[in-house]
Amino acid sequence: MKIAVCIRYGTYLTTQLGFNPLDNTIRKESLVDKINAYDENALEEALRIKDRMGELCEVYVVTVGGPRAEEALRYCMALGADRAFHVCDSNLDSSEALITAAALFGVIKQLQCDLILCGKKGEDTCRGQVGNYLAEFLDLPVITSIVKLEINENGSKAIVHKSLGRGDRIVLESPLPAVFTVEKGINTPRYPTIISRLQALDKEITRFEREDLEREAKEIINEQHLTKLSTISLPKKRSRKVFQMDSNLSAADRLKAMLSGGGAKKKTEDNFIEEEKPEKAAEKLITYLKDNGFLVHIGQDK
Amino acid sequence: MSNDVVLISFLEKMIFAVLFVIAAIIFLRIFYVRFKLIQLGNKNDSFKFNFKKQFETFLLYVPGQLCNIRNIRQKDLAGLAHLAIFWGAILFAIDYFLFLLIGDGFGASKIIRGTGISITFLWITEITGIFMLAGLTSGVVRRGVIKPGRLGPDFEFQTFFLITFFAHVLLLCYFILEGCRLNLEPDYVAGPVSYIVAGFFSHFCAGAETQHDVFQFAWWVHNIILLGFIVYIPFSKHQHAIFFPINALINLSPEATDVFKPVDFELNASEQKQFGASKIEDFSRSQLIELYTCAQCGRCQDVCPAYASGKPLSPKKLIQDLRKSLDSKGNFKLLPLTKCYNESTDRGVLVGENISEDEIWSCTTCMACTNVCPVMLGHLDKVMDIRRGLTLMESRFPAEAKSVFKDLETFGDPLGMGSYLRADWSRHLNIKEISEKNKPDMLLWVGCLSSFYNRNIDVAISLTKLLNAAEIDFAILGKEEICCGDPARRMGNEYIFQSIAKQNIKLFKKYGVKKIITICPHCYNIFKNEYNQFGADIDVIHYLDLISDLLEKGKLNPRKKLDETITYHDPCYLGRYNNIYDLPRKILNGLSEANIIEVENNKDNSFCCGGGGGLIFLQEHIGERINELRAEQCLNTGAQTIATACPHCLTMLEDGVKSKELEGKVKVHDIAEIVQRVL
Repeated sequence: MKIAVCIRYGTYLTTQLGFNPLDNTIRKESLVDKINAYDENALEEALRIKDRMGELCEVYVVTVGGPRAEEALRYCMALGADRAFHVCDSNLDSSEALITAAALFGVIKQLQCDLILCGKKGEDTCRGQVGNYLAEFLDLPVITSIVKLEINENGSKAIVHKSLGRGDRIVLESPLPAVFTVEKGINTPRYPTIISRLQALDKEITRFEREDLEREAKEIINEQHLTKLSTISLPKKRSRKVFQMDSNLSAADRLKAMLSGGGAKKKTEDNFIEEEKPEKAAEKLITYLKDNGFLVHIGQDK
Repeated sequence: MSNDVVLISFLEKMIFAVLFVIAAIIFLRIFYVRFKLIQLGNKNDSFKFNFKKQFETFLLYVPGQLCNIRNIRQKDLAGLAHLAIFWGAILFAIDYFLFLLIGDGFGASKIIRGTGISITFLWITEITGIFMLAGLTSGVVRRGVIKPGRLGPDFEFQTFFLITFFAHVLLLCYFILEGCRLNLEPDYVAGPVSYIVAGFFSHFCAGAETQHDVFQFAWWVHNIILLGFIVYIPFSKHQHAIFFPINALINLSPEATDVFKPVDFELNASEQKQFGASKIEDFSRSQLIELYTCAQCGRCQDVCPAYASGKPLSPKKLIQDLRKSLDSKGNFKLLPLTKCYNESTDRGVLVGENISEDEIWSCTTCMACTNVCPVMLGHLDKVMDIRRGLTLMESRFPAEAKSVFKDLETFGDPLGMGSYLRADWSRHLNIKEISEKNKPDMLLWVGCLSSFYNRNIDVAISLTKLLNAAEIDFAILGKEEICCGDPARRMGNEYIFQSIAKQNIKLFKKYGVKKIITICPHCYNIFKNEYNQFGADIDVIHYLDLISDLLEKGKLNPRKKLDETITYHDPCYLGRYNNIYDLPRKILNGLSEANIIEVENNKDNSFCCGGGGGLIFLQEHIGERINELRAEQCLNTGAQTIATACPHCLTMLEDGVKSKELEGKVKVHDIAEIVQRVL
């Protein structure tokens, strides 16, 4: 089984405060260089499949970007990826999703993979289009925002859980090969051992230059479909409805009023907020959270 | 065995001689195998032998019994008994060699015993022998009646009683033998006790026949016990008597700075290099010989904060588990003589069946164990080497540590806050930031905790107010400051630590930094003692030094005196690591009407707050919380304020006080805040 994972090594904003909307500048101290977090989850998922299948599975990492991205590839190989591919061109660092997908396609189509994984979106761009475009170029099915992945015995089908937001999911079956984009909750990425990081420094990376892939890319991209970033802005301040706290109500009722956004008392079925002493109320709350699976024991994710 | 009267026949002497040789062969064989086992460790290339220092150490600790005497300060009197037993053993050994082996064995008894020196020696020896008996008896009473916890949890009283019983009998037989000889041989000389015994015998069993029989019987009992001990010593913890003097002579006592040695990360092609210790052979030879010097006294266990709070870590158990791991590699059978190793298929992985991960990750690196150990054993360097092995080779660490490591790499601080927010605490204070043009006298290194945790930011602000009041020329790095690297190194991630250290050193060079003042003792310790491993050459002081100086010189003038009672908690990294005990006390005594109330466990016996070793960033799942135990100890003094000089301690102790619901009634303050309050 061959799995390709698409990785993006980029510069990300660590705090919203670093961005000044007045002059559209970003303070350089608020930037860090790292691998896109969603891509780390994608790689981790691939490595877990490899853990289960052993020798029969190979994991490839592919990235598009400038020379700095090599650092990311070596990190990925330290984690366990078998081979790394780098489309090396500084201009491709922050390129349009369509172009990135075309570059990735140029590499991946040569690899004959059974599964392609990407992060659901870039932490900075937040657009989530590369996976879709890539699937289109490869003529493969695509499912986005998966939180669980299971592959059947002979690697012909996959059952995935797709996140619909707010905890809702749907379960889908897909034939393989396919492209899946991965949501954060799917796993916790591992930490590479230092010995494997040092060994990865000497491993080979297959490099592609822009020219190798440009001609073919131009054939599949429709220039009219390219999009352009126009503006970034912070959320507008909205006037909030502030409800008047009726001091005649008890503490529990006031809490209910606050939660329901103001106004009259609501009668709900699961009335777990009741008039109680704080300790008792806290105990009840914890039992409720435990029973409904919201509290998970720490340390299980290893 | 005498010139005139034949008390023991030639045949008996020959039988004894043969048995003695067999016992000696067994003794030597076991020690030879242990010597070869020690050779399994790595050679310590960086070890520099300093004869003068080694000899001084040897004299202080072996004949001087310094470690045992030192512990008396902590109301630990067991060392006195050991002093008697140790000196008794030495003197009797000389006695046996000179008087019995050479004197009697070669018929030179009269000549040797006749001199004044010999008589003095015999007197001293026999009187020490009485003290020895007293010491042995007190040992039995202590272990049988008082039963100190540190000898446990699996102390075998029966074995101990048997050994001590036979030791008593051995000494009594010695006196009986000497006593009988005084009666049976003319011109025989001995010590005072023997004369008493001789008098006893001549009074109660007058006949020479009887005394002759008694002598023969006692001779055999004495010798069998002696042979028994010779064979038993190499198999028991009593081998420390052989290994410790050797270790004191050839091994430097572990200074705090020796615990954390840099790792060379240069790797050739596909070399499978070992970082840290995953198997017993990964330790160095100096570390392995220490395993045999452990006498299982358990003082380390007594002072370990992790053990006190119910964690599975016991320094004694760890050392013994490592020793057993090493022993399992040995072939202790007599023959073949050249075969010393046991070719078992067991890889001998350290962290597995006997040593658990929880044990290794419970250590706060407080160094109380090494500090109290009578044989100067270094427990910490072994725990740290195992941690390095777990982190660097296997990525086996607590789940919370993963985000600490990732945050250190990505953001440069263990909290994941990032450079942008680093100097936010100082925004409205007009503190100078260092730059190419703006080079101050000294650099104030704020540290991660004091930059991001609200409570610790208060301390940073207090300190800068003090420095400004005294018109000190200082600057901070501002957004360029990252972690000092201490959490990474303490959690075994030497790789991240080295890249942080090198980055910091480059930064210091860039701005020509010559002097650094720190708020946090961890930063202080690592800059002062460990950064020189990477070529740094800077003067580092902790702020207590400067504040004390300023108060003395009158540059800071306290306007009022405090009337509250204060107690001081010694941070491990200021106290045990760097011997700073008096400075904070001097400062506090100068500011307060009342004197400082000392906590029971203070100065070098201070109990850790639980925040060291990177543990402040991890969670405590097992047992009680160490910080609550320490807070309780401080609260028991009845003081109104608990003072400290470390952001880790401040955070941990405040949490401890809060958990006892005394928030508001008892204050926890940093010394900088206290000084600033009275200005």
